Amino acid sequence: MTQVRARRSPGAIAAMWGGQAVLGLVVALPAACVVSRAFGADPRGDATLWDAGGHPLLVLLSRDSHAIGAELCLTSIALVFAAVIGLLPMAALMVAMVSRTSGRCTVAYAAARSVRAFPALAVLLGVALLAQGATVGAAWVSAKVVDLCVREASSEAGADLIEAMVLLPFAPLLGALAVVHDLARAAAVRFRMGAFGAASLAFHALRRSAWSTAWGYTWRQVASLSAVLAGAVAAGALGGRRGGALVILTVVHQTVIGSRVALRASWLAQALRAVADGSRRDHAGLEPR
Amino acid sequence: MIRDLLCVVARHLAHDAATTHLGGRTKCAGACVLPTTDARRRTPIARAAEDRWGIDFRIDQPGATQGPPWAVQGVNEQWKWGWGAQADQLRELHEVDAQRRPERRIEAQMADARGAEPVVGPREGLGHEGVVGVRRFPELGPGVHSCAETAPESGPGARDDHEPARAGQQRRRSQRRGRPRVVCSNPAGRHEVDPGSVQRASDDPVGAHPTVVRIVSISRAEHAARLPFARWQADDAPVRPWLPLLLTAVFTTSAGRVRARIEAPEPGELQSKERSVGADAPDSGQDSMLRQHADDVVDYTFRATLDAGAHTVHGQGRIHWRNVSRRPQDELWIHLYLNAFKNERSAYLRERVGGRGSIEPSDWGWIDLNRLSIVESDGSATDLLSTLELRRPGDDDETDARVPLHRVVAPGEAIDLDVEFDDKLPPIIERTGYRGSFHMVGQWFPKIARLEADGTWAHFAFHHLSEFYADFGAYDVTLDVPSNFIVGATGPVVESRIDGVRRVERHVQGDIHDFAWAAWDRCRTRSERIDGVDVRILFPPGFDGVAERDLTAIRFALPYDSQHYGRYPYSVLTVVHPQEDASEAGGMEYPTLITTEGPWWTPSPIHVPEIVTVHELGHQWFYGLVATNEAAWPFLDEGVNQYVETDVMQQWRGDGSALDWMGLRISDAALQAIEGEPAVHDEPVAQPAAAFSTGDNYARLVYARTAAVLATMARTYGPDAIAKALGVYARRYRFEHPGPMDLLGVFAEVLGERPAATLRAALFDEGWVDYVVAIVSSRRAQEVAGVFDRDGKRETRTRRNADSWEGSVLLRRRGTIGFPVDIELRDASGSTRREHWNGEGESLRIPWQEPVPLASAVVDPDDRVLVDANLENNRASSPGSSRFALLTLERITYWMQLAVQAVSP
Repeated sequence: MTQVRARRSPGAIAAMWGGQAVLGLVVALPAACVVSRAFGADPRGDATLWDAGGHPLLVLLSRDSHAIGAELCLTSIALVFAAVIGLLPMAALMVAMVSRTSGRCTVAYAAARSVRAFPALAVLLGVALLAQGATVGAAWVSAKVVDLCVREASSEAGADLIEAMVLLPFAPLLGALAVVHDLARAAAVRFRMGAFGAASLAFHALRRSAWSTAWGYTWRQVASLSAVLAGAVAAGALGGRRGGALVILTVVHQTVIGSRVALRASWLAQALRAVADGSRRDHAGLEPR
Repeated sequence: MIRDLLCVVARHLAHDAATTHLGGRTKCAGACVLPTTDARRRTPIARAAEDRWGIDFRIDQPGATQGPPWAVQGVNEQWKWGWGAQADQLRELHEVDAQRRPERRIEAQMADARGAEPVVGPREGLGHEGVVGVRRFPELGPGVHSCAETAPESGPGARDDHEPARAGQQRRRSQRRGRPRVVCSNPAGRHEVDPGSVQRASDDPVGAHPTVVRIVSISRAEHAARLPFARWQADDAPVRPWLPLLLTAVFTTSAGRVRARIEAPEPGELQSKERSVGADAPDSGQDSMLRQHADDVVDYTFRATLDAGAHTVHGQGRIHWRNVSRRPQDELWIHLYLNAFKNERSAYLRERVGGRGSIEPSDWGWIDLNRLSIVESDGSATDLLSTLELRRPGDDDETDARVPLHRVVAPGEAIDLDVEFDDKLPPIIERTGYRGSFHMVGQWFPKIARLEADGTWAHFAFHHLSEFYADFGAYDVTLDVPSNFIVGATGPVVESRIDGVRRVERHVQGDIHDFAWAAWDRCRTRSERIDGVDVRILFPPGFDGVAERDLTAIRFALPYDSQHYGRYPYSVLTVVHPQEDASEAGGMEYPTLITTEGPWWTPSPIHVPEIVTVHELGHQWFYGLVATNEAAWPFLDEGVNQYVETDVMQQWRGDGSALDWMGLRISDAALQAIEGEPAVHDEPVAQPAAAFSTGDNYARLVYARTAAVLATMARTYGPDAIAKALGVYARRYRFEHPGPMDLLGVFAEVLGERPAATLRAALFDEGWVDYVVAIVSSRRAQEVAGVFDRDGKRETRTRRNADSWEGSVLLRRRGTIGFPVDIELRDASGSTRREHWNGEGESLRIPWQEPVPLASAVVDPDDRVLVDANLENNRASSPGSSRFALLTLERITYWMQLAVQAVSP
């Protein structure tokens, strides 16, 4: 049997990208309508909003604060929706990638498997959030304690740097939690496991291939962040206020989004492989019921 | 012969009648009309409001037809605040003021010399003597002279009940015989001249330059100095209902046409001009004419010893104070501002209005005056401490102390005070205090309040929102701190030594009106000579990067400000950059010493350290050198300086002067415009600091609104014009204490009456503006239809479309102020054309008759009117021409996608 690879499921990746684009449009459309009412009569359209100096933009943000407030509310709802309901497309993506290895996958099948895995994924999400929250809290407390100890004896900048040094170890810890979380998700989807069984398998898998897993996660995160920065640089260079430049800017931005979706899918594929290796049940899972 | 006379006939009208009827200052040809005189005695505050009445002058100069512009200006228009009255009286002021607002005059009436005869001349038997300054304003000329001082001859001797008054009476008699005394002041000094010689001004050694001429005329001396620009004050004298007042300001020149206006640039004319340091700086060539020194009124010689562990300062020394007013003084007012933090009954801690300094003090701070005695010339000392009145009845504030003197100090007489005091510094709060071993010591010594020329004291408690006001003088302060401490203080170090475990530094600086210092055992320093000034920056360890940014800002701003507002006159500038946990000490100005702020890690695209540094540096001019009353008119220092800050930042960092990050460029001026807008209709900008309802409004109006208004004027009338106006203002009033009318007078002189009126309305009357494109319409033009009888034939013409399109654009200007604006019209083919509207009138209709239909119209397309109340109605389009916000849609969609990716699995 071939290994799970993201590149073998371009349709699923495109669907993921499409879902995020739709969600983005749902949030952006009301805002664009507000701006259209305010600046649509301008011959330059809303390009004037982004002129250097920023006065029109600041005016819009201050004068249309009610609309902005509604927009922020909508954004919050969309993000919560994306965080929770987004478990389903993520599970479907994993199902699609795994099913590709056996040549069997339909939308209905992927949807059904996703729904079935949802309770375990939700529990994992809650536990992961708690763990990450606790980690952040511990980091904050540690930093404050250290700050109290060194502030008077050190300079402000020195104390801040020491704080940063204290905080630094917590970053890999958060990353490790994210890795374990994703491995557990992969286990839950691939082997139809419950949350705690999946978590146990995830830890087991991480122990078996800690470095390769960590490297796989890290380089993809770095690449993903680099794509955003490259997009920002390109946007700054393009300007992209209207016409062809705006079209090019849109293409650049969506390329960034698509590449990030692909990198995420690639990481999930590695997670699926890792848990399979860890469980020694590579060929046992995902039998259709 | 040039006949020099301005006469003013006093009309004594009852206050109430005057309030409702403005005939109190009716204009009449050839004569000047007096303001009303109150029939009742009222509080100084209420009277001050009346003083804001204008009077119209006419300078009669028959036969003269041409000449340089002239303006008549009252001497020293500072208001006097009997600050004990506090908020209620201030409100009364504004109520009175509000009733008369429509009648205020901004500029002095510029007299037209042609064909007018004096109606009333000087009259016998009048009251007191006074001074009216007559200032000559050559076109674009230097005009950098003071007339705010009292001519020596017109001093307190004019008091009727004083012996020296006889001399004044003699003088008055001579004046009434038509021989007014004229004192010319110029860089070479002052000298009295024959009035008749004034006509030969061009023969004067300094005739090529503007000459300030004082006309000693008959008036009520002790209050003339209060007058706003070209205004008359007649209040505090004994009520004499039928007493006519006579104001005579006589002036002549070989020229005739009298005006006080310099050609204002056409709107937009200067907008394209770029200014840069070293090029085309307004009036920069006049620095040789700048006053070199301030009037030395009060000198402080102190030795201050810091106990860094107890956070106390022990001070002792001598204060040499001179009565420069026209009145004998039998009291002193001393500010003990450190007592603002003594207890919760202080005015400062009672006023919970929000804003800066609103943190709860974790410890108290105070100043104990242990010794205060007057030292006579024979060496004997008379104790004053026992009679010191620290509090007013019903008010526990201890920041404004009255010291009755055991004898009268005559005008011109100086006294020496022996003082000893102990400070307990509070934890850092509102610009002063300690944090660990860092000590920022401001408002730490007993400070004599400013005595105005008319003999009234400008004294006031330390209010939560207000800053300071004092006379110029020389400070000789010896600081004694632990030897491992580094000191930054006002003025240069003239002596420094290590004395055992103590470091002793002596700082001496003249021509300043405050002294502050900082001491810390951990700070780092950097020094650099910038534009001939030794700049030294004190900063915490690890702040090297941000300190370099501070210095970079000064490298640009110091020469820039010197170029535009007159040379920086001191040899040193000290910058203190406190830690973030002492940030309350940051962002403050003292003479030759400023404090800035910003975390050490401030990202470079965010220009906070630069902005704060540039702002505080600007205060060296607008506060330090132009020493306005910060408590009475905070916009004159903070507001004007906020504009200077935005201007410097704009010239330095362009449109991204506040934030320049990945293509998003936010300017400092735009931030000011947005910040000020919400409070525009709440209360006026031009009011005392203590009168503001909240700290937020104080910040929004005093800082942001003033800056936005001035920035709008710079954008509409040209940045050079505003720079020139502020340059003239800063140079002319260097080492003086100007008031709002001085600023407005300079704007009238440089920019013209209308811009000055706009500025005045914006500052005093909550002026606002909203430009609107109300209608954009065009339709195909049609040939005339109907039945026509032509040449005996009847012809019926049917309605037919012509080849052109006709329509119009209707613009409206809402609000109470206006600026010149452009209107951009765009047709359906995409071609544009621009029209100009001078901003006058409430609406403007622009016809459209073109081969193509009109698509849209935008008023102020270049976004010059930053104070436009609603930018969103500045544009309108014909149906179907509106554009969907595709760019916004694209950007928000992208950002939202990124956010979804961040939170979704």
